[in-house]
Amino acid sequence: MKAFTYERAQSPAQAAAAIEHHPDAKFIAGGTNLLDLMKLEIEAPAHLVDVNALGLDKIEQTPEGGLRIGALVRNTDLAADQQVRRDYSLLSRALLAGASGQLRNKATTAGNLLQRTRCPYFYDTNQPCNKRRPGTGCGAIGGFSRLHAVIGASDACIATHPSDMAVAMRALDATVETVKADGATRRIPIADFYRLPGDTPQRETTLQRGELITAVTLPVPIGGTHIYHKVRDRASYAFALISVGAIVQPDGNGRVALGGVAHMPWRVEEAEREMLRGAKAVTARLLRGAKTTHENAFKLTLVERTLGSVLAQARSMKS
Amino acid sequence: MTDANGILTHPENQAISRQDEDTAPIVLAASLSHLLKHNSILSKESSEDQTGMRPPRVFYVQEFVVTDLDGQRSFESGFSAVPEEHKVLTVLSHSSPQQQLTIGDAYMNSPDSLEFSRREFLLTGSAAAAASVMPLGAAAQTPAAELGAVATLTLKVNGQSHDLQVDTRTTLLDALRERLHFTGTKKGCDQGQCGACTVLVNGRRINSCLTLAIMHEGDSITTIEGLGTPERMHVMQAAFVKHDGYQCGYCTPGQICSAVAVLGEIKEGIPSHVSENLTAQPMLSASELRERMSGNICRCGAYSNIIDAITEVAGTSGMKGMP
Repeated sequence: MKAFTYERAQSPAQAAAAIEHHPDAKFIAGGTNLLDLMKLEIEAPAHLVDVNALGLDKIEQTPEGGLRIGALVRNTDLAADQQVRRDYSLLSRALLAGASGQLRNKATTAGNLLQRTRCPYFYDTNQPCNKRRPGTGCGAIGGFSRLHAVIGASDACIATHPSDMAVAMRALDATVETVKADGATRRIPIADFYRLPGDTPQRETTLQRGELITAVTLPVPIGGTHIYHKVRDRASYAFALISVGAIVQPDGNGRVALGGVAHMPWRVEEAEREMLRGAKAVTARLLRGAKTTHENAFKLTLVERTLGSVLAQARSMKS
Repeated sequence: MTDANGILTHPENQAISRQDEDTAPIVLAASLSHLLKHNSILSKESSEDQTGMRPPRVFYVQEFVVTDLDGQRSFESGFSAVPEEHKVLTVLSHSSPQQQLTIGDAYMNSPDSLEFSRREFLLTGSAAAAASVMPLGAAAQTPAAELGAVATLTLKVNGQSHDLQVDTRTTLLDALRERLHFTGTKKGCDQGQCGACTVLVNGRRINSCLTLAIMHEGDSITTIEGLGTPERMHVMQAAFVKHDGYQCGYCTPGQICSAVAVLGEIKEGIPSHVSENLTAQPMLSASELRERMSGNICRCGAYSNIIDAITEVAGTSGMKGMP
């Protein structure tokens, strides 16, 4: 690990300012992803700004009847929150499908959104990776790519976003609230929060330098049957090959977001018009333009079949 | 490791560590002439002062010969990272009373102008501050340019507070094992995948390898040593013994800490991935326990016995009536 200095921020704006004034600084909250990457020197901040004391760890009702989730709410607490379990159970399910009990106790809401890809070429510093070292190439293209993206990827990067929680947030139309060093706040719809890799896979979100996530808000509950189905290589504690997060209304309409297929949680609102026509039609639109590698074409079939299973489950739970 | 007087000892040297028990405030001596001859007092500003916070000025002492006062033991030490304001070199001479200089003074003076040169001196800390010696292996591999910043903190482990100074990079795991000698907590993968390092922080299980020691000032940390002792085992430890919930035993402290927390989480009503009903009290079933324990890997494959042990404890700790 590279050496770094450390400070404990006292206010969100002060934390943002500390990052802005220090070119190589990073926020640290749960640290479960950042410290792992720092040990490998994939991340090498010269200064850490600890945001754990900022008090952003509350879950509150919004005036509109939605939910405001503090950036520092731990994954365990968010999954176990009574209102989340009742009204946004897709979010509870997605959180509980991720990581281990120990990690969920540490990992935060904002940190989960910002976790880096688990692409093995990103992690192996002997390999080329445009995300880790822009311009060095992509080892996954033509390499071991079973886990990689099938849609929205580029010639520079075919990594996936590893978060389960973010898939639920995307289906729930969450909004990311931020503060900048000058105290200015911003609300970013989750649909505009992530970036596709393009030529700059090292830039994963639309956050600006020093911009600190303070909360994630959820709109008024929309009801429906919430199902998160994660398919992985072992029964627990593994990243998704693919995952399907769905909210299905009694009339069969609803929302679908996918994990494990793209550089961001993948949702195409237009595809949801096909819900009454079934999984095949929805998947065809969701994954239109998909580009697979020699190892991951199975993901297209897997998405369709998993969605079919999810829709069947939703029908059976309704009756 | 340091004693109450902040005396420098070496964490990996039993002969030196044993001195912790002595009340004499003299543990280590070093050859100043050797130190100066090798030009091995280095100074380094730990960071630029751009954040408005004054980082501590830190001096590093490298390659000093450590001898205890009777001259019987000596070894080459690695780096010692010492904040300027906390450190005093107590210089002992056989012919004159003790004299003191700060490490800053030592650095500022050339070897020739230093009247203490060629005399033995003691490296001690002020009473309020502890000093540290990095493990030899780590020091040998760490070029001076990569030396880290030092932070002072108090860790409360198993009900007792410990003052220590650490390189900011020190994980909670390394602080527990290498500095405080709570070696029950194990380092397996060191990347949050195996669970051998699981400890309880404020009653919650976490991977101590994926968190920094400096982030746990004021937290209450419980390690396997705090759960029970061989004479007075925690009920979960006893159940692991009874059910043979291990083979080699390396993952066991983490398994037990995790298992204790798992029963607490079920009691609190925290659901899991396999809970059929999110809003109901979780079942105390084998599948629930397996899912909840999935962050603890056992290479020997003692899983079924581990589940038996946890199930028994759940049944005897007021959880019997659960569905």
